Amino acid sequence: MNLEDDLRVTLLDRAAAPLPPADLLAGVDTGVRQARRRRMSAVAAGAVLVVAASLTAPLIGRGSGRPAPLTGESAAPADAVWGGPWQAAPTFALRPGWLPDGSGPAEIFRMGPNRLAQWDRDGLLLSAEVGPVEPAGEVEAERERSAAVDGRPATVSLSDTYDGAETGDRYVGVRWRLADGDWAQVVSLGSLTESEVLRFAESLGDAEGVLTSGPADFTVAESPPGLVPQFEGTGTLCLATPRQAEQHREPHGMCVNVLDEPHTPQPEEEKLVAGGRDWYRFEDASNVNADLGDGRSLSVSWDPEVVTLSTPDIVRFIAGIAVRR
Amino acid sequence: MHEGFEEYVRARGDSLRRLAYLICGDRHLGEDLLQEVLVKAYRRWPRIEAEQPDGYIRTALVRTHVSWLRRRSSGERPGTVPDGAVPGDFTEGQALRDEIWSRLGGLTRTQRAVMVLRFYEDLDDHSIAEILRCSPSTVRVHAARALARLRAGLQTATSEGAKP
Repeated sequence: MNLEDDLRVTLLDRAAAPLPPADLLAGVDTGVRQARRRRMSAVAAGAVLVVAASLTAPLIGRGSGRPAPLTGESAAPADAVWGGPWQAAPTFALRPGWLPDGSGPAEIFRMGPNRLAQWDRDGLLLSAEVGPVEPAGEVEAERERSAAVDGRPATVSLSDTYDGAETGDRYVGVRWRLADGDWAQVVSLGSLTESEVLRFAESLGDAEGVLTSGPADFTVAESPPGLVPQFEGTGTLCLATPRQAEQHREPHGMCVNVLDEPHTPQPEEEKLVAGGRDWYRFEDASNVNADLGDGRSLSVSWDPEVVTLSTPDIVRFIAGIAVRR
Repeated sequence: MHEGFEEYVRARGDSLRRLAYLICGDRHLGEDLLQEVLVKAYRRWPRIEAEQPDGYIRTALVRTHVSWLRRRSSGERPGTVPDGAVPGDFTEGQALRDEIWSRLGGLTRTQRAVMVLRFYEDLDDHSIAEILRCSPSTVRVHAARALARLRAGLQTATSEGAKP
């Protein structure tokens, strides 16, 4: 047998092992009842708050247009202060002195406390990231070797393939620590050679000024209490707790994304009208979507374990999202 | 409860538990994942029942498991603490399969899901791509990397290198 056959047998063996007794239906029944109780108590609380919520929620209804009850009271204290307005404007301080021909403008990202500049043109994606949180490798390296950037020890990661690689493409990543202790990482997915990527790494900070992106795809009028920008890009914003914003470079908390795909509402989805836009979500789902009408859509999702905003709070937030054309 | 939902869970529950276990690599996590998915499915059952419940639940299990919202950290691996060996057979082949099971715990969630969907569910790359909302070529990349990772270090242990 080969590995594939061994793997198949392994999975079948594991699946065939005797199952410990479990009353799946009872567990699901309990979960369904708990969900019902949460909704019922939320509806009761929401009835008290209809007047207050209506100040920020022009209309809440289902797909049929029928009014639907608000579900949930505001999670924030009455005197809690909403932040904002917000518009992505991250900057990247280490402007490179050398770039491959035709690189074009960079897009800048806030990734928690780190900042990333990315050049993306046909067949080549080049990025540089700097900050206190150690960056993750973009691609699983096939091999690594030691090198030096500005005289400081660096690790070069190499792979001859990655998702979407064309013939001749390679992955080159270089990671090292700056004099102030911050991490730095440059990554190339495309045709650049290792020496070209090292040249790019060496040139970081050689040019005057800072890098900025073009205007963001959207603006946000208000951010919920206790949440601050954690991840920012032209088409993305994540709001998270200050601690998350300090410690994590991956998206956390509550994220707004402009997607290059339409959103087709499903009959079972609840309709929320906010900010003059129709939003849709499945009941109890932790995301809402709005079709922008030009093949794009707006998506807001959140981690329910971190973001405990009520429906009125969500409506207040999404009502303040303005998309640029 | 919907009568049809009860019938479905009674008929397919154990099979779904096995799939959730393989996806998670841990029985308790698998039970939690399946229960979460079934609670959500219950509310939409009339529509789900009219289509293909198995396909819907399978897709929901995988997507829910690989969703970043469920991850506690980006570096988390799917397997946590792998369950112990399957009792009763301590042959060379069984030792190898225990090693493979352990190594599955070192894959990313997506890689592991691809392995389970391809080798346990016998789905083709196009079907797996639909579940994972990616392209078939991306599925092949995940599969190639997963197999490479599993194969690494196994050369001396696998039956590929063992006596015929």
